[in-house]
Amino acid sequence: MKGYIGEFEELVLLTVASLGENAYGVSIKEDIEKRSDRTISIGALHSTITRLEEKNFLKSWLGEPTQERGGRRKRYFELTQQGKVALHHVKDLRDELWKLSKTNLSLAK
Amino acid sequence: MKLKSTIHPPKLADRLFEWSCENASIEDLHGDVEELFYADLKEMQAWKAKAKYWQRIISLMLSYSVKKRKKKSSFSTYSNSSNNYTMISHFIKIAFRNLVKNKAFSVINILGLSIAISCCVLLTLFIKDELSYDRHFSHAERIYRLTTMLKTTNGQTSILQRSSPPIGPALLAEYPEIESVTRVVKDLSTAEQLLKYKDQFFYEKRGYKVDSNFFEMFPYEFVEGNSAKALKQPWSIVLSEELAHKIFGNKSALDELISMPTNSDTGVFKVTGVVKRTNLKSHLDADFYMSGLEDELQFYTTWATSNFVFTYLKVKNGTNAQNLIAKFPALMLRKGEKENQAMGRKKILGLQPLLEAHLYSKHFQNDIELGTSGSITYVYITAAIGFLILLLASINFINLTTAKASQRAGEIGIRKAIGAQRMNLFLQFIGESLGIALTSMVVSFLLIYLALPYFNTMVQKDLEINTQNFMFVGEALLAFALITGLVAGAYPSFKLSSLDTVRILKDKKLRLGSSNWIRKGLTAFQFSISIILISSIIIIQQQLHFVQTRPLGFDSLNKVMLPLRTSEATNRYLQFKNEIKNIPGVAQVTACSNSPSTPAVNDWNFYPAGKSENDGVSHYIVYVDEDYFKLMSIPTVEGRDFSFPGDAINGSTPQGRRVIVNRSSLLKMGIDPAKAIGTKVLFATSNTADEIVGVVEDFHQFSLHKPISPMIFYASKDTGVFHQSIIALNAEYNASTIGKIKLAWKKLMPDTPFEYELLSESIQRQYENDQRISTVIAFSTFLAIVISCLGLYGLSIFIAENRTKEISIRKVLGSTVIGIVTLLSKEFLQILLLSFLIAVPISYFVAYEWLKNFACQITLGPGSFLVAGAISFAIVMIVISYESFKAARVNPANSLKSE
Repeated sequence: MKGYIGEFEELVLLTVASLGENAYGVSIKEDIEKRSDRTISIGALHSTITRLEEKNFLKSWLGEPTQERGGRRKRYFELTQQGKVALHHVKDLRDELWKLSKTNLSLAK
Repeated sequence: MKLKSTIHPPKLADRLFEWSCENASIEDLHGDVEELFYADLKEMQAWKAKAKYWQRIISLMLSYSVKKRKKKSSFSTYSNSSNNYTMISHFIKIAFRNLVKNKAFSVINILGLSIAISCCVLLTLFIKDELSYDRHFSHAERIYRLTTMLKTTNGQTSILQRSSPPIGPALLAEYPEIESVTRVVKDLSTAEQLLKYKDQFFYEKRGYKVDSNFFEMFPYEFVEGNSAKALKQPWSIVLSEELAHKIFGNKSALDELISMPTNSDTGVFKVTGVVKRTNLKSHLDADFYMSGLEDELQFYTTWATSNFVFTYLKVKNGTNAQNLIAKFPALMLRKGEKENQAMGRKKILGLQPLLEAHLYSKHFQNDIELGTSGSITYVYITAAIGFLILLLASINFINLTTAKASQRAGEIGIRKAIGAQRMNLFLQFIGESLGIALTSMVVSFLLIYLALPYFNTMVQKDLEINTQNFMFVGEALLAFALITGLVAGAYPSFKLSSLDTVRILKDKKLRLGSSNWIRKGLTAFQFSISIILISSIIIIQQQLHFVQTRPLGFDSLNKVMLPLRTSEATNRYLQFKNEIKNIPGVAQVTACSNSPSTPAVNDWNFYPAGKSENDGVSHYIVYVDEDYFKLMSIPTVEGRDFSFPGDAINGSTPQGRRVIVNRSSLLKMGIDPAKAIGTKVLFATSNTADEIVGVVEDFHQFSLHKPISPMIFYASKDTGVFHQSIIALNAEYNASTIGKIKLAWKKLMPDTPFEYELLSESIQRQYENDQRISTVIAFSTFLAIVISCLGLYGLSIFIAENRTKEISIRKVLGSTVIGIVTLLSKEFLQILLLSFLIAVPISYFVAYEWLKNFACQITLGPGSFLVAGAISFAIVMIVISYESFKAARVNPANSLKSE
């Protein structure tokens, strides 16, 4: 299915979106860890980011060198149009399923 | 505590990361990890942060992200990283295909190299073992052995590694730079010593009497007993672990009593220690060490004679041995100078480093040495042989690789055309040769395991591969394989990678030009070595045969030697003689102090009456019983044989002793044989004049390595001086004769075990060392020939294949099979002729040098060289004719069609 994305990929895409101008490796990792209360390995994160770039959901550029990174540049990420479409696909699918649910999904008793 | 700002991420991890990512751009990833590290530092201890850093680096290295970036970078136009993995796997594939395609060549290469490498590793083990002697003693470099040089006024010099008994302790008292002195004495009168425990007898070759501080200078490890106290009491004995096991089995040996019923040491010894068996070797290793040397030597006051004590000195740190030696002459002037002068000689003391005792002791007189001594020459010969064999195998490798390369012309051309640089090709070929070398290494490992027992018997060692030297063997294997791979691979790789692309692609053939000459030269070199080795082995065999069949001046046929080792045996000798004289099969019985082929000491300088002591000539003294010369068939040339009991002497006979000398003695002393009878001879330090009553013909008392020396014979009625009884058997003797002699022995000398040896066998044993060298050279000749033949065979295949077309056309035009075989063999025969011309002078020189070791030598004629040449010719013809005939008999239609 075209544009299919997994749960972690979705999480990464949405985090990149929420971080706006400041979405790079460390900030994405910390943001996800903070919000979802889980530890993720840097290798796994970058693997996912690379896959998302391959699928053209993310684009990236190199920033300016900074002191605390031993003079190394950051790679910033931004959602592409396709990325946004993919997120919409997932969201639409979800919303539809929520709507169709015959069980009452409300948590109120 | 370190300031956190000064803490940096682990460098090794950084390097590992950068190395593993090659040229891929990973700057951002690396930055992320570093940023996280500094964040971590604020929250945790530095080591934890570092550990996390490592964890993250590894996590990234294994991640898809890095893999992807690496892949991307290698396809990028601007990346200088080549796709190494694919290229290398391609090289391996091609190398493997080539090996399989040319099975014969591969087998020849791998087999040749394996043989050579395993040979080299075995020889390295041998050399390492030879060089390891005595090194394990603490401060071995500060221990020296006292040597004695005796210079007679008429210019004879002899060097002994022994000295007079009081010198060692006196040196210790005299010179503060000497830390300690210990002495060792070996019983020179018998080759083996007899030990008795309860009613069992044991013969042991190596037993020494030592000073009580022996184990302080030479700290052997003890299994039982205390090394510091073991020798403090007289009548103590320390056994080797082997001997203790042999006598006592698994029981403790401590405090057991052992008696020594030999001539000189009658008494009971208490076992006070057992020396541990180790791999560490020393020339001082023995089966047992007895205490009580101090007591025995205290009565010797002479500084001139009695040079039978091995004296070891340990000097203090920083002492220069040369300076110490320089002080000795002044001391010798004060001590023993008069006595030495009286004997017409000068005595000079010297020091031999302990570490040279094993390998550098061949120049000492008489070859009397503690333990078995090695020889540095032997070590050099061994190293040279190993090197030669490795060289031969490398030559095969070079020859076959360049020869076979012509078939890879297409491959080389295409590689070059699509952009392979010269370095690339060079590395490819070097890699291939290293691959072959490493394969050979694995094969050699198996070969070494299989060959080790045979090798041990050949060099008379007990080398083994164990956990201790396993790493060494592995390293040696690897080193030899790598060196051979690189050296042998370098030339072909260099040559092949240098070819002109256009020409090889056009011709599909290699015009190697000069390499043809190199190949011929290398083959000639191989042939030369083979011819040299073959002729050497022929000459060695001839000399040994000559030595073994040469008339020795006496008759060794059907003579049996019975050693008289105990005082019981010498006391009852006459009774025993009477008892066995009448046994059928026994012709005659006699006894002597030193029969031919047994050791003797020549410390005695005789001179004829009327001359001075300065003209003294050293003689070997032999005491004989009745009928000695008759029994040995030694002819009397002047005067008469001894008459018993009239001429017989004992220790108390003061004057007018009658002696027989040999012809050499007259010659050296300058006595006219016609006037010899009645001449009085004297020996230094004593004024007793002995009268010559007879002269016997010269005979070989010792091996043919030595010239015949002057000898003097006394008839003895004191049977205590005899060391051997010699029995002549007549033609009717059989096993029961020996049985009857044994019975008589058992009856008369129940406490001495019966043993006998044929005189001829004892004479043969003198050439054991030569036999050993002969075996080693024969074996290396064999290996050299095998390796050369392998190479030759490979080359003949190549030449036959290369000239298929030419041969076919010649056949079509009417050439015969013989004509073609001649054509193909011609090149090799030319090389063989050249090699022969090179080899002959070299082998002549080598053989000449070796023969110098013998006082009696064969004359070097052209015969042995011609035979060696003929053998090589035959081998070459056999090896190449198979392929030549095959090529010559091929149907020309088939080979011409396939072109």
